[in-house]
Amino acid sequence: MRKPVSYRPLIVLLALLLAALASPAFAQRFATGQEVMDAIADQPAPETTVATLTMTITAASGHSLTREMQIWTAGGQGDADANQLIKFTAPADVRGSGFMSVAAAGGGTESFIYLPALDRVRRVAGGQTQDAFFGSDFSYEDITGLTGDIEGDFEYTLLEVQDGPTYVIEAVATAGADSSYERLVYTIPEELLLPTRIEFFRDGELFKVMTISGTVEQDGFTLPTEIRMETIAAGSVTTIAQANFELDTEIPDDVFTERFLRR
Amino acid sequence: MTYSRNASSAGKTEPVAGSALAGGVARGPAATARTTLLAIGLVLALASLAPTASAQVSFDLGGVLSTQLGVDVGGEFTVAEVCAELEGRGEVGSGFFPDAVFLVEGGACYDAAAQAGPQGGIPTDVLDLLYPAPEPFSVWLGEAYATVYLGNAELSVGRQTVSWGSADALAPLDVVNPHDLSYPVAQPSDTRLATLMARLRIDAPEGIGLDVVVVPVFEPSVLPGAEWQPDVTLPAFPPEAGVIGLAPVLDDRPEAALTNVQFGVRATFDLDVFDGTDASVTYFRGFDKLPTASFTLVPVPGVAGVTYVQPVLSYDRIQVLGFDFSSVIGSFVVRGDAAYTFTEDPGGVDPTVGNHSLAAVLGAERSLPGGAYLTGQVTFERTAPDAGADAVVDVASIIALRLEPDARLTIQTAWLHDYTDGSGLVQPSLSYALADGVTATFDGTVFYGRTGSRYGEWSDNSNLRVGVAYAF
Repeated sequence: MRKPVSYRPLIVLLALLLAALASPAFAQRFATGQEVMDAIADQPAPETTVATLTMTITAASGHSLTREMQIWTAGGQGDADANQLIKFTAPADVRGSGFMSVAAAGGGTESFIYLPALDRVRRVAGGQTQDAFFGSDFSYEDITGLTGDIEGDFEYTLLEVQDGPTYVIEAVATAGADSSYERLVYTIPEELLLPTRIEFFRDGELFKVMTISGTVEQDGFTLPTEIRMETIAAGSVTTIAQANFELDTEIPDDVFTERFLRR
Repeated sequence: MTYSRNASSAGKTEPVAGSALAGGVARGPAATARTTLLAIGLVLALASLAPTASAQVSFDLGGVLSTQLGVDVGGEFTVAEVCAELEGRGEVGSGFFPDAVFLVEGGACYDAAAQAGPQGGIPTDVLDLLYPAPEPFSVWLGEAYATVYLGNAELSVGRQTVSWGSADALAPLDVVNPHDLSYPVAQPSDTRLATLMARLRIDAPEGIGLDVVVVPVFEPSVLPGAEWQPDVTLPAFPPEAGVIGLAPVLDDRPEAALTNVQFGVRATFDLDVFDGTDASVTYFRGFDKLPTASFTLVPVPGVAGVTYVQPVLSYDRIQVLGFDFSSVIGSFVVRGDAAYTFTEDPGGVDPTVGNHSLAAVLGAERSLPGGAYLTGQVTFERTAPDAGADAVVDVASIIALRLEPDARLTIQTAWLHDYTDGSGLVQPSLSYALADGVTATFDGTVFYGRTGSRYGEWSDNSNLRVGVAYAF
């Protein structure tokens, strides 16, 4: 007897095809801006990082200055106990200068700078955190924000989902936030779960734009290798190139001390 | 900036002391230069050999080439120099805190302005005698020391500088090192001279730091030249003294002896007060690095009834007890220093010894919109009186504004006003990074005030300086 033909698999396949045609060409995992930011915060991050930085500061005129630094961080992105220390290694006229941001005993962070010419470690006040970081387009706040804890300072709204998917998320500073920026707009590819562009708004104006144009995979972590910050009004640009990563190496606690900062 | 009262008071006229004091006279500049060159050469040679001795040793050599030209309001060049400075630093061992690090720096300068004008002859002016012009060519040895790391302690031995205190305008706790005050309104950090010492620093638990220094041999500060000194008039000697002239200055430095070893200790506390506070207490026992000038009558050997006037520079034995702090309070950083200096003349009866004094400074600083940084400080100084006289009190304020429009340009202006006599100074400066490591600087100082006032006396020294430095 002839076996009857079953059309069921064909119907299922057709339904799937129609469904695929009816929906966007990608599937997004996150429905809200907060979910995306939580996912970024939940990503595994190295407990410690040591890297070399090359900072190129280019004025609107096109002239540029280059600074080389070594950075030590302990505690990952979003960690309230994150410590960070940066020392300049070149050129000679800034060699030995340094910046340190450490978790304070009573909460928050304490920041210090060391200038060899003064031979003193000096505290950085809250108001100074928006000052330029050694003349660059990054502020002290921007630098510490790369590793520091900003949770609770912003409320996130998903503005748009672009191809990829790539999320465009608005972050609005909450009342009493420890930030000089009133609004940020992140562009975050889901594949990277790393902001590739951040627009910083102050006084209602687009103030600065940061872009991450290069990443590297190392030891299971996605790390930015080139960070560019542009100050819109001044037309100046600072690029930080990160290299020579050493991840999860043991960094003694006494590295994040004034003693090591001035060494 | 430093606005040293002692520097100018070093030239004050003191009554004749009882008898001539014994003391060493500084070696000639040529001998000093030879010794310094040998020392620099020896240390650099040893340091350059070190890497071949062990793979655990690293060594870097750098330096600064600089030139500076200065002119005063009278049109005279105050400085026209070119300098070369070398610095070698290295470390032994590996890790975050290696076993030891070492540093040596030295250099040479040639100042064409120092040899301008008539040369030769014996100075007859008391000021020129007390404060002779510098030699055009100078060689110097700066810091040269080794540090060994011993757990939470580090021991440094050699020529070093120590920066104690929190404030800038007045640094009453900056007492360990001598200073080069040949340009007395330069930044204090630029004038500090290295001196031989042993230094032990300990990072104790609970945010407590201990810093102990022992300075075995006294070295005095370099005094401002005669153009910065008040007029000196010799005391009126009785005709029967038979004064026939002036003798060379006797620089009565403390001898290199165990009893003259200087000692200081400073304890620093990291406090959870306001948004973070550092507080320190300091004790120092040693000598004032600025001399007190006095004049004695010395009989001419073998000639009865004939004397000459012997100028004497002596250095007071002092003890300093001080306190300083810096606190972050919101967007402000607040700093303060206070120091009480005890001398060996509490009653003010010995005119050749300075009196007790109190110096304090309190100030605040903060960032302003647009990237400017504003600093304001108030200073208070009181020197106990000589017997029967009034105490000397001085109150001044300093306001400084720094602006960094971009990575290349830094503009600063400082204004000091002395409320005691209404004098003061304004000090604008500008630095511009021409390229990586190459910086041009322009700075000037304008003094104002009536004749005889503290800064008004220096109005002829108002000046403009231009310089270029290349660091490599």
